[in-house]
Amino acid sequence: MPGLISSLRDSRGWILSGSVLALILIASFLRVKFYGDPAMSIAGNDTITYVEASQVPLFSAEIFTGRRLLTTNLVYKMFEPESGYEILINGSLETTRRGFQNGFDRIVIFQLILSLVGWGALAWSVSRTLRNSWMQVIGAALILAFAYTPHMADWDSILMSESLTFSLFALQLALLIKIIFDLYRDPNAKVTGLIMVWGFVAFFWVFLRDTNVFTALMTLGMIAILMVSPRYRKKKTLLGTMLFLVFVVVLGLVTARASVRTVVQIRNIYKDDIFPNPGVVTVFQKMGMPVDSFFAPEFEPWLQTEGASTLFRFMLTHPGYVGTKLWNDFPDSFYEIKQTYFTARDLNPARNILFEVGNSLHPENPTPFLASILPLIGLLLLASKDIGDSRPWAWLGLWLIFTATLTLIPTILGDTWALNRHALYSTMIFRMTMWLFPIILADTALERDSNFAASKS
Amino acid sequence: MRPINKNFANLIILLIFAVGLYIRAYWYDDLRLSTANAETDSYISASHASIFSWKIFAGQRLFTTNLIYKMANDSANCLITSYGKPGIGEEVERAVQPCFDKIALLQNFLSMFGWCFLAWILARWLKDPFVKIVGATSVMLFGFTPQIAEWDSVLSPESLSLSMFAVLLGLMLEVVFRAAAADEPFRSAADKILLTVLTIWYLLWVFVRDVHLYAIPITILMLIPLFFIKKFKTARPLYFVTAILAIFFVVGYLSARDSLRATRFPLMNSLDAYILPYPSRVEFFRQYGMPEKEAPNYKDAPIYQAWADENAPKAYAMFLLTHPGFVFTTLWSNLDMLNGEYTQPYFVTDQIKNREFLLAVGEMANPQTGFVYLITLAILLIYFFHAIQFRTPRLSAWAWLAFLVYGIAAATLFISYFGDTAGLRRHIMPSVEMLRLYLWVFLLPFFDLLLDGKSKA
Repeated sequence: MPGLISSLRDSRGWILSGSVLALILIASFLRVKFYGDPAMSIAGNDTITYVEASQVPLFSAEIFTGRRLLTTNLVYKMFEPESGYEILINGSLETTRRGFQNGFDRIVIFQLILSLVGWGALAWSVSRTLRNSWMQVIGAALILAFAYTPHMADWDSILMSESLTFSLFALQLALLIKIIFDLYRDPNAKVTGLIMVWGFVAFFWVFLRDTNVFTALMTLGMIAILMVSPRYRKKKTLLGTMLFLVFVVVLGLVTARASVRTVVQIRNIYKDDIFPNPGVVTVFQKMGMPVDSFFAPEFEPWLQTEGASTLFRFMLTHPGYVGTKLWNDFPDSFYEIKQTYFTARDLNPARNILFEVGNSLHPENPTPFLASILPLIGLLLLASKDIGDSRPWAWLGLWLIFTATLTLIPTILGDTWALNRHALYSTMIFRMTMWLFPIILADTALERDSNFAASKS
Repeated sequence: MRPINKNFANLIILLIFAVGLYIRAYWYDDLRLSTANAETDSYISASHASIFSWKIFAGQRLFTTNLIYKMANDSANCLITSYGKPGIGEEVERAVQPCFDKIALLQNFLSMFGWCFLAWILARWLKDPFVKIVGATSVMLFGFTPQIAEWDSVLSPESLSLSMFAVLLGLMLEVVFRAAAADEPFRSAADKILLTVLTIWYLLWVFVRDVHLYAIPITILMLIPLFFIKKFKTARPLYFVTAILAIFFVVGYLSARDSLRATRFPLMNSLDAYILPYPSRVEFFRQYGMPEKEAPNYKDAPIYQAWADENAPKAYAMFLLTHPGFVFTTLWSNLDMLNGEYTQPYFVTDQIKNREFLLAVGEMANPQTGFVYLITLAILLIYFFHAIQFRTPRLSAWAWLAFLVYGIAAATLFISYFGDTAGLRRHIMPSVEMLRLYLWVFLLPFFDLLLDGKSKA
């Protein structure tokens, strides 16, 4: 009997890893089973722009500067059938049912696979990094439940960029956790391979949405701060990563500036925010805008050349406008996060249950903001005293909250349409960290207890 | 450095209170404004009972509200001029109503004092200066945003229930931590006076709503284990308090039974909704002698009514205890209500300045999500395991309080939910808000304990 107990204790790590792996596999199986035929897809009004943008030659500047960005252009190009894409079902016009659309089936299956890989990897990575065995299982289960409830999973059937944004984010975060912890535990750890994989994923993630470039910029800054520590100063891999990020940021900013898509968003701002306010129009006229009406013929040529820079100057010199707009739109960006493109009542009762579970995990209000910030403060305080693994977690926590905030601000300021959909990436992070941070805190607490108990004995 | 840090934190908290109180006092317009609802009449008529009569306990309404509504029970001079009827879509403007203006003023002042008092006492028993400030701010925001503050203008017991609870929790924190820190608890005159004030306040709170009565058994259940701890064995005041609580539980139970206010009609509503439409459930009640209901209306069914007045509470309690599946599925199917928003529906809110801003802040502080139930349970379990492992006075005090408050909130929520079906949203509101408050009050000490290495010593 003592032999059995001892052997069980020895193989505890394996049992735990096996349990988490089994959990991921079961959750992935259920994810595929409960959401209907994975080949079914639905388009939105924007889908046509993804299709058209992907028609440009692969080796051309337009692949970056077109109506859509590199990653979706590549995906739509890669999976295009010989007969071309044909949009049969558009959920933007009316909420309807998904269906089979030739060519798009490959895209949604790809999105599903990427989602399973991304979220599975994140669950595994978080679980492997936590120390307490209960927290390892709970952490993995929560991440999978978070990702595989309809609030997230439904986007995999929709022909836009949200699904790829979520999945590639999850994958890069999984890799980032591994890299950060490897470096924290041993500054000389061999992480070059991991960083290259992360760089590959991060590159395609950045070129999904223009606002993602701010995350690359922020990551650059956070690595630079890390360099203050002599522990990491001479780490060539980190210097290489910084150079790579500089390249990504420059490429992202230059191509965004040269693209036609920026004009579309800027036009929306002029139409919805600027022209309805005569006082603001007067300020813009003083700044060089030649007209006082959105419909004046001289407006469009001016918008193409001066619209963006004038708007940017206006925001810099009018922080009150920026503050008010951010505050007014901030709560709205958390509402109505569920997709509205399709229904799937035939999948009941499982779907209803999944919705109810999802409603608990994905509150549609700004609660996740405060509920993330407070545990983050706790993590930072712990990091200031170097308790447990709090320092790498605090770095990752800041990275998460900064990426959410830095992408939310330009989302609110940079367009007036579909705010909650465009803000989904940011609000998703707040919703996720609301769960993840308390688990990390509980893990730190429980681990600290066991260390203390060990030191006492 | 410590005193400077501590005083600095206190100064910041006082500044935050000053700003919060200014906003609370001026943005919500005249604090004398009030609105009656369908139940206000019953509070007025019940308050006619003589203060030295059994009727003051056993009337249609309870002791504390009877005392307060004595300020407004002069039917000639106290006329209701603002009456909100959301059931038929009639929201009204609040008004300064003669006599009721005093009640509104009392509710508002009690609320302002109560939330600041709780915030201050919470901060007082936290150690880290930063956690102190965050803790006090969170509690103040919780109480001063419209989700809670607007109820202070409504002439029903919700405001008193919540504000008095805030004071009660503040007093509990003070008494429990002083007792935990003392070698001989409740020995000093100050401790005895505090315990007396706490007991009186607790009883006044109990007699605001019938459901509060069930806080007493939970409290006694939590007090009993203390008598097995050496340092509390000789704390005679604790024995007195337990005896007093037991006596008032009997008083409360008998008064509720005599008045039939908790059974006729609330319980009958529940039986109509949950039991009578289901033959198998009716069969269970037959074992307790339930006769046929001769008429659909309870009042027109004398045989059924006679049985119900005498036996329904016991039969229903047994049904709930032996049918956990029913309890779970009923709660599950109404998750939306448990996660809902509880802003008052009685009066229009044009007079409240910057309400959108306040609501957005309130949505962060009052988490409208199932997150609350999961995280509060997790907090409770972590306190439990910590307290078992490390029996330090401070940790034990937090754990004991965490169990007590969770027990009170959960018990009152359960009984409010299943005890009536009319006005369900309003009835469960105070208990749900207690759990939402629990999140902030007991999450922050968790950081504090983690940060404070001495807590393990």
